Amino acid sequence: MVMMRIILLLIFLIPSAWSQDVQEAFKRKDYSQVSEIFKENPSRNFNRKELIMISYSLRKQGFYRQDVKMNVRLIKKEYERFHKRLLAQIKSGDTIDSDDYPEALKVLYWNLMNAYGNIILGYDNQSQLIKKDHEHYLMFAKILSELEFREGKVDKLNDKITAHILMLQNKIYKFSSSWYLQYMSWQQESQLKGPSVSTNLIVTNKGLCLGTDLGYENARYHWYVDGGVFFGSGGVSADATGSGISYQQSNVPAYGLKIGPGASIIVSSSKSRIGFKIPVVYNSQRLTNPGQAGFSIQSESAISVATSLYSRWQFDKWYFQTEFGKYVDREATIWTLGIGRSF
Amino acid sequence: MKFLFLLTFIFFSVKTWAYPNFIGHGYTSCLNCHYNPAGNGPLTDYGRAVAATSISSGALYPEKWTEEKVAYTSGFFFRKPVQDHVRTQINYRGFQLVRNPGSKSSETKQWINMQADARLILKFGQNDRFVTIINYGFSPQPKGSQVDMSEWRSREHYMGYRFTPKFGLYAGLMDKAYGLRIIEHTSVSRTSPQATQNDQVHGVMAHYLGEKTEYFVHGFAGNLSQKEDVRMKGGSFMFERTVADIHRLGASVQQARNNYLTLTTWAAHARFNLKEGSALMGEIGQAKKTADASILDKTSRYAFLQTYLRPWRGVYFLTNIEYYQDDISKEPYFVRWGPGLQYFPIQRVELRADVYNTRNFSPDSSNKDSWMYLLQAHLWL
Repeated sequence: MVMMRIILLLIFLIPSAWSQDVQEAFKRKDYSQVSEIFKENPSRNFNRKELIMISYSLRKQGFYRQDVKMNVRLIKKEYERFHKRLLAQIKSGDTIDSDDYPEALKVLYWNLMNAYGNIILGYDNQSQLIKKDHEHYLMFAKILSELEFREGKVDKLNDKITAHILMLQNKIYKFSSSWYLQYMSWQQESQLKGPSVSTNLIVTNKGLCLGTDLGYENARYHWYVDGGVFFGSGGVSADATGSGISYQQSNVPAYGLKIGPGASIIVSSSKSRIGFKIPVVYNSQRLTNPGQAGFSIQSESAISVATSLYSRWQFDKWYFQTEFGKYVDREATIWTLGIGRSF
Repeated sequence: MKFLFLLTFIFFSVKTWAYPNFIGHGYTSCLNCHYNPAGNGPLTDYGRAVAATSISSGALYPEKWTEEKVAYTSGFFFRKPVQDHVRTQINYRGFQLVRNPGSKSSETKQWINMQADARLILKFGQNDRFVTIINYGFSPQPKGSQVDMSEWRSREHYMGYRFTPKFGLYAGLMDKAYGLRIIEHTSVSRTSPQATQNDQVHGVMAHYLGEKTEYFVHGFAGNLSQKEDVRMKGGSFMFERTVADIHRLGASVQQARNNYLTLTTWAAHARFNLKEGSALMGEIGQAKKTADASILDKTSRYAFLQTYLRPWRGVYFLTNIEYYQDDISKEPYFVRWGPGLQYFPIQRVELRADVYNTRNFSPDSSNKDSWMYLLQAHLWL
């Protein structure tokens, strides 16, 4: 009989000791301990007060997914009837009187929305999981909105979540391409070599460039390779002082190609951008040698590297662009302005 | 002497002060921020607040400062105005101009005090419908002048009355209503039609601001502080229309003459809002100049393109691209490229660096490009 009493006492005392361990740890604000107690035995028969303490502690510890489970457990345990009725009302589009629902249930929905909100805010990159979490978040945001509970705070968090999801989407790089047609001007240097003097010649060309760019871009950056063929013509003139030769040519045909990498920063929602390119430019232009004996034309290297400042103003699919560059190894510049179309 | 005056008019160095590129911030009409509905000159209280907040970087303010607090410090000497009727403003702009940089033989450096203005604004009535503007300032040495012609002078003084929010009349010394009032004073789009820094005229300007259109009609008798024979008398007309809600297209015509020169000009312009401060602006035009003594009869053609991109608040990358054919009956023309960086680190401070590359196109000659750069500081109180 005594033995029987001791066993019964133990059966009643153990749950009592368990309950006290959660409450005591919570009183000490030892949220870590509360979380540990829950994790050691999640199926333990916690009472309502303990579940609320555990839920709070899990949130404090940043264990939002466990907190979701905890709040769902609370709703099932305490408010399942209300919950089902509310969902049915929302589904059927009935008018909802928020006074018909207990405040404690609204707080649980609020906790759920915040937990899903914090889960979403924890993503640094786009993920397949976000879609599901966002659906849950929106569901609880809608429930709170229907219940007219903390509407200002719900709206504020909605804005924050929307901005974060947009930020994650904006980080995704996508393949991009475009073609363009540019008006282009570039200079080519040569030398008029004579028996005693040599004179620098500058050929100023203008023409058209047809090209394309291929690359990857997200909402903020664009990395690409740009290339095009160009053709045009230019003129040159020089008086070789003291040598008795006057050299002039006009409309000398020129053609070439330019190709190189580039990077831009996208600065507005219209996708206008500024950046730089490093084109390698091949230019072919043959100046006729002067008729006088002893004089000849010596061209500079046909291949040069330039650095250029690039800007693009986007009007939906079409864009206007400018490029201003200077050759690395010489004084001459190259500039273009033109239109293009993105794909 | 008459020829000297003519030369002065042709080569006068010029500068105007407006930022039509702020259409990129959604401001289609200049009247939002300026007392003068065509832009330029003193800023309204709202314009100063915009300059302090949307335009300038917020990086140097304490984190606790709200935009509202920053806006309240945009008044004269950082104070919130205590009354509604009198405003004072001080403006300074100077720059280091370096021509042919890097050349041992031809590099020149020069500091130019381009603007030093003290302004008094008197305003009365609902929505400041009656305004009086007095702007006294420094006029720098004209470009091309061999003698020192810099002076302190009235840059503008006029009164304006808005009969309704849509319609106003302005009378006095002010800039001509013509084309894009950009800040680049040596731009061909300002020098060619003589609508720039020192080309203010006495006259009467009517302004109509509709839902989508804006009209200016300006009749003028020249600058009355000049001798009568050189005063450019005439009129100008300008209109702008909002298209696609955020962009603007416009056109201008002008005819003016003095005893030596008849000037007939037209221009068409466009301003595109590329969102978040980025903008694209362009103007094309012609100016026909005829001198009665038959020493001059030519038509000049120009095109001006200005591009703005704003990667961060307070920072603008810009490029000016100019085309100018001095005489359309002849082939030579030049193209000038001017990439630049504009930075508003904090309200009342604008820093700017510009590079200019000029390329001449001529069937008879081919030369190296000419280069110059300028480093500019603009301060206002």
